Amino acid sequence: MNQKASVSKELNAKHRKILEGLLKLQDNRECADCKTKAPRWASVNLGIFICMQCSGIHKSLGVHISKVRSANLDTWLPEQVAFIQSMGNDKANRYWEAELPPKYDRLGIENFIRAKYEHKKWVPRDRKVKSPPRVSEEKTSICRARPATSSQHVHVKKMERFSEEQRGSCTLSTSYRMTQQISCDPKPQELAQKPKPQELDQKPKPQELALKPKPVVFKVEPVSEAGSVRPVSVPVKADYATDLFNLLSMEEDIENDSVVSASTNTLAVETKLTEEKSNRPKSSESKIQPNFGLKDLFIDPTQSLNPFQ
Amino acid sequence: MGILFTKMFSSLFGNKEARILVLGLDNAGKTTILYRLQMGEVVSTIPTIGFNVETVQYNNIKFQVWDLGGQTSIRPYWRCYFPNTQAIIYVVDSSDTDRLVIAKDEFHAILEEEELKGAVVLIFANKQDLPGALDDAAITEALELHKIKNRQWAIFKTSAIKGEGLFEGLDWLSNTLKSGGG
Repeated sequence: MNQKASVSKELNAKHRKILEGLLKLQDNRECADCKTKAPRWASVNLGIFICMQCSGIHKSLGVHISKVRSANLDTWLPEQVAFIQSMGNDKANRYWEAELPPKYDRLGIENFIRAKYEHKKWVPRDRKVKSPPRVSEEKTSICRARPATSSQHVHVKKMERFSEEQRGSCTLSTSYRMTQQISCDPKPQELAQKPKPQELDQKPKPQELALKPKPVVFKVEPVSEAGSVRPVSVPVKADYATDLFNLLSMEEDIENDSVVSASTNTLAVETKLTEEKSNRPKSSESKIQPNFGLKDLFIDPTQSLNPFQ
Repeated sequence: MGILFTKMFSSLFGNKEARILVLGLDNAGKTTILYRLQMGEVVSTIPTIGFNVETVQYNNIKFQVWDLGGQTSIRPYWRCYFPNTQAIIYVVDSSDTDRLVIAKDEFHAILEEEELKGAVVLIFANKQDLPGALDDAAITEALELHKIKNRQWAIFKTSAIKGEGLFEGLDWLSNTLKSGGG
């Protein structure tokens, strides 16, 4: 317990590749619980892939039942990757849903998930007592791995949400953010072509923001740096804003690239979603992060970004 | 002189504002805590990719509470929110004993940040309702809180689900901030 494992940048990239591969398998194409397509989250001790919505429920079960990680935002340990490789949704459900009546109504998904994993309602009864397929004594110390994460850029698609103008509007609903991680390193020359700082100002500014104080959160000022050549492997302390900006610029490139049509589609969907959201009046219901379009947001970003690898 | 008067006035009659960051590993319960404080309810959450921000008025202090996503690869972006922060609420899943070492490392990395030098630190040993949750003394040890120098800090046992411990922590925070800490 509590041992500190280190996952190198290379190993992490390898893990990511394996996970991406696993997510393409027929067995794992749907959330293990609600059957939503293209899950991007996982329970590392149950060895299953789940959607973001169900990951929230899994998290609420506690780590003694389910340990949730993102397939692309978290660092995985080798044993966790190996276990999910050996398990997967299909195999896991053959155990957890062995006694599940066919055509069971999963509408109350939280109750369903609790019944399934917490109360083990549908595990095989006829067989001899068999331990559930989960890693019980795993040594899950995901390392901090700052050096490793420095090259794993979080791809913040809607950069302007972090900018000063819109910061105040960030309730839970509007703060619902689209980040996707790409495993490739941005090519400096491509970044240099399109630093588009003005893009940030084109969005309508919500003037009637609730929060008056506007502390500096995200500086997007160093525009000139945005396109500059930057050693990716060396984390620069104050460079994250620039990083994000670079990635944003890079995305513009992708968007304009006719080769990557899948990526463009995804982005189009996202933009639409964002617009809808910004137009929608704030309500108390909007506190909960919406789930629509989530699967669209997490459609295999690494695949669509292949030209950069 | 005018500024001084304003300052005195606001310290006498409240209106103090404080910028608070809620940090911690993924799945520590940061978002649940934020909305428990703000709405008094347990909301169902999904992982925070980015941040949530809410204003919580308590003890004549207007807390602007920022809840930042805790996934491994988005933790480096926490630093973008560090400037002008008066207090950190560091949330730990007390039942996730396997990751306490990582929680400790992240915690001490935060304390080393120059921009957070003046920030007071409130630690929530969260998820006390879960089986196997370590108590505040064990979390204090695991996070090596005794190593904290030149900074006001406190740890509280909390359960965001049950609503326990949170406002006790906020009481400490408001008293500390009013008395000039942070």
